[in-house]
Amino acid sequence: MVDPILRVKGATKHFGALVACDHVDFDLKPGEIHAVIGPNGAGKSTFIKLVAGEHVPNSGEFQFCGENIGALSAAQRAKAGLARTFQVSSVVNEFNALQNVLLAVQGASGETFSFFKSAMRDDELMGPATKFLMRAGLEDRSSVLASDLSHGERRQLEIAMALAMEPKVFLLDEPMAGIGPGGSKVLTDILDQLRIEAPILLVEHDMQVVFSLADRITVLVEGRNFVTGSAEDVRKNPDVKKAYLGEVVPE
Amino acid sequence: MTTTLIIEQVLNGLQFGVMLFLMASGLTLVFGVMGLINLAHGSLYMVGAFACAAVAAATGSYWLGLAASLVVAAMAGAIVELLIIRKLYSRGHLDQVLATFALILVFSEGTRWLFGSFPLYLNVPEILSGSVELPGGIHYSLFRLLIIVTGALIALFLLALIHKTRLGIQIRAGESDREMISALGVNIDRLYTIVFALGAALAGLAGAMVGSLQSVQVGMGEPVLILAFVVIVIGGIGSIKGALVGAVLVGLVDTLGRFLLPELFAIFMDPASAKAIGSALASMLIYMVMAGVLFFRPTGLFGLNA
Amino acid sequence: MSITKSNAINTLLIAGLLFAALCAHVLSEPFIITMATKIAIFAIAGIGLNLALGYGGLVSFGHAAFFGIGGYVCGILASHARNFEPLTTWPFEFSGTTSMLVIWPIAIFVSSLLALLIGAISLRTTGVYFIMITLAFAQMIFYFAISWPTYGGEDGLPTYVRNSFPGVNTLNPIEYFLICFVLLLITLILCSIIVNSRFGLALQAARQNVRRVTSVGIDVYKVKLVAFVISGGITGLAGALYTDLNRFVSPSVLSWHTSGEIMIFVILGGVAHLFGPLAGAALFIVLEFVLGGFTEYWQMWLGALLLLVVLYAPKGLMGALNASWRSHG
Repeated sequence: MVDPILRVKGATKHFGALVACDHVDFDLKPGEIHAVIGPNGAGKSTFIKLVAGEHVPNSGEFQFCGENIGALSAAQRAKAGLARTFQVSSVVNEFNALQNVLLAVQGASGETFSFFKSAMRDDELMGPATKFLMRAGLEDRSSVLASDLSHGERRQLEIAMALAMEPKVFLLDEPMAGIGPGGSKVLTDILDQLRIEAPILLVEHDMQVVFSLADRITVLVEGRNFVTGSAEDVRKNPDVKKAYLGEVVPE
Repeated sequence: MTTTLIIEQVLNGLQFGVMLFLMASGLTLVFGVMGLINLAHGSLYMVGAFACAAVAAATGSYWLGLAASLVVAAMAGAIVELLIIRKLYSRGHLDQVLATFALILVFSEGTRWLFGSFPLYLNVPEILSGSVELPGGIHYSLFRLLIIVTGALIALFLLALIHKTRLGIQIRAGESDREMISALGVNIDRLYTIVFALGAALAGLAGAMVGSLQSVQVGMGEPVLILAFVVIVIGGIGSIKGALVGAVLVGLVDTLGRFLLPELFAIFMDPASAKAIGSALASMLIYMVMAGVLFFRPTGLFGLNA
Repeated sequence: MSITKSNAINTLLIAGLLFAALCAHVLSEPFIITMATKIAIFAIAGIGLNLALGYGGLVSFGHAAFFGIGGYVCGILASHARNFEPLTTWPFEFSGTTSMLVIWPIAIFVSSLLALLIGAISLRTTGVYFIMITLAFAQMIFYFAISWPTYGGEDGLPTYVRNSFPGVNTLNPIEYFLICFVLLLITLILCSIIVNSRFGLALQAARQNVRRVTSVGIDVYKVKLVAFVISGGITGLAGALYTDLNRFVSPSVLSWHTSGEIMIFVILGGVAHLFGPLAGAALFIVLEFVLGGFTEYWQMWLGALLLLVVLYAPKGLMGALNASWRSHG
């Protein structure tokens, strides 16, 4: 059996009296897409923020590539190889698409404190940035300001930035949010391609996308592990249907 | 150094703190409710002092002067809010800082134009100018004592206003959710003008009272303004309770620091350098307290997330 | 905005300043030369602040601290050199200097160090708290300067003559202007390079979206701190030049009015415009001169004008110029 690249044990996060994540266990193996789903308020977003290091957990163990990353800041985790996208597209609005990706390439290179060489004329940055922009299907939009990109294009831009990090794991927080049921064909294809690069922790609301992409699925309910299993097992599990109460799980 | 002296300094510190609270409460309300940084708050303090001085001189009545400080400062506040401040709510902090800095220039130079550069002095009425004997045989200025009492009463009034009245509910709702409160049918523009004028009136009253202790002159509002900012930042911006705690803390620390630090250094230094170092440090003390508070609590003692 | 057109405006500005000073020299108007020198110095201070405020979004209301400390470094070094009292005796004896080439690096170093200290604490906060804590630190130093008698306290510290620069008669107004002008050019070039570097890219991104910059593995706190330190150093250099211009330094350079004025140069000129602070400082000082000629209460009119700019031309002079140029061209 392959060792998981990312392993979370007992992740717990309180917000005052509210327990958003209650001893959540999770692991991600090389090459797979492991989706985290659950009804609204199940703690999916909190969970991904705990993994990315944006929230400080009350307790829990976070192992990445065999190392304990619990003490690392969000920036350090990103540099270590955890690349994330955001539920609400979060790009640098006054930068154009290319500059956004450039920033990610620069972040991954770890050489931000260089003061004298023009970044936009730096081939070490421009080459990869152009390449990743193309991979995400945005080569024609490279000089468009991020704020002028369409909703779907901004999603693609986020993925280009995640790719540019050349990560060991992708953390994708609802990449299909706001795209509509089933997601766009372009985006689903891109996600499917991503798994070749690195395994994916996918938090997603769109069940159709989840069941077409995920190898394994973890269902969270009220902040706790409910079920973990293959897509097939979860689809057939009657308790999952009940937990979703009216939310349609496609047959 | 006697106990009597220390108690007197503590009372002075309280009196200073109470004055700061009158300034800080308006500042913190305006920031909490409207999200506005108002550097010109010190100008309203100055306006109150000048109104008091002018009316007291014209009518011969100090009490009318005090009333005028409230009314004129409130009116000045309302006019400024309607003409200028209103346009700044939706702007960034940078624009707010700059515009209200510009307002200070207008107010200060305008006042200098009207009243000249020489300080004016207010005569406190006969009945207030003596001193009273407190339990323990301490003699303390009646007027300063009255300031402490007035300030404490206003603090109680404000806390009750915020937590018990309809206006208070609207103010608190306005802090958390502007859209909700306008959806509830509250006239939000009027609410903002009222809050701003209320803060201005309190600043004006503080100006008149401090003006009676010291003097009334152009620029008198600026040192107080910065201290008031220190107060609300220590207390947590938007919190009346924080402003009260912060004001008393700053008042006491500053007054006692100026009094005690030189004495403290004199224990192991020659008197001249002890006085120099002690008073230099004392003048920095509250800023150190503020930096310390923000280091451990970046949003102040009673602040929510910024 | 087209790059060539904004370049034309920039060139016009910088050439205009040089031309004005040279004309004044030919016409023997030392007062005008001093004004031009003041513009150059304040522009450097503004460029320093602009790096933090305009590009980094760090609204510092305490840059008087760096301007003033730079000024005091210059004053203190010069005064020790003239009264032969050693400034330090350990680890080596140093009795001050009157050489600008030594004073400048020390002024930059000390004000950068101060910026490192102030920034390290202040950058833990954001928004209004940041504005206020930077103000508080500046006040702290202001009150210290007032109550510390060794270097003049409230009365300030005169340096009597300007410090020296090899091969230049610094007391000749036009020659001192040229020194400041060249430093202004160097600062401008340095800043334009920094802004376009990797660091500049990260800084501008951090202003807009902290979360995003963090998520690509960049330590935003460190980026902002470094920007704040560079910003403080540049403003400190301007402070040292200002002391030499006046041959005097007093606590007023540390007052919050100074912080406000440096901020005005930046905003009047246009935030995050490389040449904005130069345009702002020039406009401010010319206005001071013109309005001051009409009325003793010129600050009132300046205030009114500023209000109009904030309310109706929030992009500042450079924004307005570029816009009108574009609409007419």
